[in-house]
Amino acid sequence: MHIKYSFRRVAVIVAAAALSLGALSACSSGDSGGAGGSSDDGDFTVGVLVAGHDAPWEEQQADVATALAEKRGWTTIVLTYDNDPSTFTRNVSTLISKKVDAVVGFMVATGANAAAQQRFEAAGIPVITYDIAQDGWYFVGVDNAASGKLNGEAFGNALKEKWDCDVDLVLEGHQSAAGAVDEQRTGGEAEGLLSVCPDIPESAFQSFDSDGTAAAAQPAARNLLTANPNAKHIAVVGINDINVQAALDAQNQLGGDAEILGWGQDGGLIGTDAASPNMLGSAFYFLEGYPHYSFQILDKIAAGNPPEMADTAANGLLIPPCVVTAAEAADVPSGDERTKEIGEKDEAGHDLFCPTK
Amino acid sequence: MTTALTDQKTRAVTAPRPRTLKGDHYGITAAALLGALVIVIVVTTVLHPDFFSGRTLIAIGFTMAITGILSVGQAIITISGAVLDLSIPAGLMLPAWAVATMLGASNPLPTALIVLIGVALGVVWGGINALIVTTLKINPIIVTLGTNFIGIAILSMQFTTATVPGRSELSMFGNGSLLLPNIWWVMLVVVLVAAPLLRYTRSGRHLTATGGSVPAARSRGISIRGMRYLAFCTAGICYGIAGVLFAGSTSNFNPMGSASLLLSVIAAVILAGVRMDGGRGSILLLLPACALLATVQTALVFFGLDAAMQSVFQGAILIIALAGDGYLRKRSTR
Repeated sequence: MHIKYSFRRVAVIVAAAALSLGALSACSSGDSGGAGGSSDDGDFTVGVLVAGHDAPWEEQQADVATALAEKRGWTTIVLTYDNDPSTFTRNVSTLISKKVDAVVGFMVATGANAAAQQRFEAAGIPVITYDIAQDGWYFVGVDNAASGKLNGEAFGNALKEKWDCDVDLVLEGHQSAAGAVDEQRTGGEAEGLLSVCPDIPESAFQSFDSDGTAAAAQPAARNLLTANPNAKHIAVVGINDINVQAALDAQNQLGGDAEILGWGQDGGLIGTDAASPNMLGSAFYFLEGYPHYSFQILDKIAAGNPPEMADTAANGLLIPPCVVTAAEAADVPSGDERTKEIGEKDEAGHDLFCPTK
Repeated sequence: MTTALTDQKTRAVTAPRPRTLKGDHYGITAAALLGALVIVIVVTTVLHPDFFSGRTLIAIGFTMAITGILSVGQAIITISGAVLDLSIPAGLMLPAWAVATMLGASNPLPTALIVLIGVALGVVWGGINALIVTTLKINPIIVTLGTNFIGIAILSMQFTTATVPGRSELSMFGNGSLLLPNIWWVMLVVVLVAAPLLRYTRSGRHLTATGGSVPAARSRGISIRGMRYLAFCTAGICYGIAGVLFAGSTSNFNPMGSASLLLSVIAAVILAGVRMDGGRGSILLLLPACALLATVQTALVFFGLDAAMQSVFQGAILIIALAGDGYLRKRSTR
């Protein structure tokens, strides 16, 4: 392709770039919620970092945080970084320059977290991190170890009842990029299952990995199922509902007389039309309700009485998983309804909505 | 003087004929791909007899169907001289999301109409790319990289997870099989329609000629702008069809869900021997290329190798294919 650069074309490109920057700037101000100028005006201001738009709960967390802050007469500055470390770092600079009093959020740009921690510490801004631990930041997160174990046991009990624990193949749907979370959830679910059905041989446990999307998980699961043509009773565990559903779909595509049952985690699909009837259960974490927990810490910080640093999954504030069957999940309100109610009542999602609490 | 003018006029209206240049070596590429495919099947079957089964065939069929249709679109873009379309993830996801949304409506439109709208959205996507490429005269790779970012970002603002009702007609078709997956048969039709259209129709030959040399095509009276629109919109039809089938065979997905397909599509196009600088390439060879990539993926699982090792093998196959292509091209120019 031959490209001729002319003044007109360069002018068009420069104009387009200027327009884009203008639009970005407008979007950025729109995203910042209550951010006007500096927050150093006596009010308590909370910086809320949203990872992206991958799941509804990410923005719902910000909605709940904003609602809880309003109840307290506080201000929030909400910034989204679209899972991008450089945008995350810019957001950190913005929050420091706005002199916020504390920061809460889902910090998935893990490579940039250590540097951000040093900058926030130097600025004297305490940080509460959701699910991803970082030295020097208060930890609030779901009890993944409990989730894996409890879901595995519940699934084991269901398999004991249906198949008398006669399982030929256990598919483990991992998302190894999630690190310890994947190990605790997926590995923990397999162990929980094994604790109820100890006679399932080690060779029956086989893993597939995905990036958390069905497009990647489905072919991986399909190939694994193809490589095990003699399995008649197949159980599927996984880090989340999407991975488990992908395996159930894959078996449906391959056909045959094998029976397959799954038990998810994270409550992403269970109870919705998208979940296969073969997904027997899952666990809700009520992720949208995390701010209820983080604001307990913020209340103490705002009162000038910050709690002792608890920055690991071992000593941090752990949120209990809500393990449910598919039938029980159908009665749990939608994410939007939960967001509204948690914001209004400032109570834990687990207490408000978990049918098995 | 009169003769010269007549000659010029004749050249302007006569499309270039299909080329059978010494450097095409489609036969060698086909033989190499089929040979490699047979070797993979035989070796895996000998060591793992369960591999040779109808179930394996269905798994491979599902894996290669969406990639195959997208590869046809990508190959058309490459042959036309626009090198690569990096907006495939957004081009696939836009119709897929629209189809999932329409199927999930409380009063859904007839399935046939939903399918048509999905395919039309693919064409619109291609048209947008062509409009930007031809208006701003920016390298298509840069344009499609940019439109992909914008498209995925906008889709991310519209939805987080799209779910397709399991009992919809499209879903039942997308997950069903008739010896091979239904979506594989659609891919076969797309390939069998696109291949002769590109090689034997006037527009197809103009498109190939544009990829071979823009100045030469222009001197023949071919509209370069028109060819860019033709290439991107035809590719858009493929993305639209692939998007509809993606929605029909994947019960839930998010805007980032097709990013991993792009590398497989580019790999298939390279493996099929499509010249990256345009002007040459066989759509038919995409069939064995996609089959080989999908078969290797499935076969490696029989050997107990994980996803990381599958990527290693895919990369190795690509390097070998490119090295072989380079060697053959050097030999043909001697």
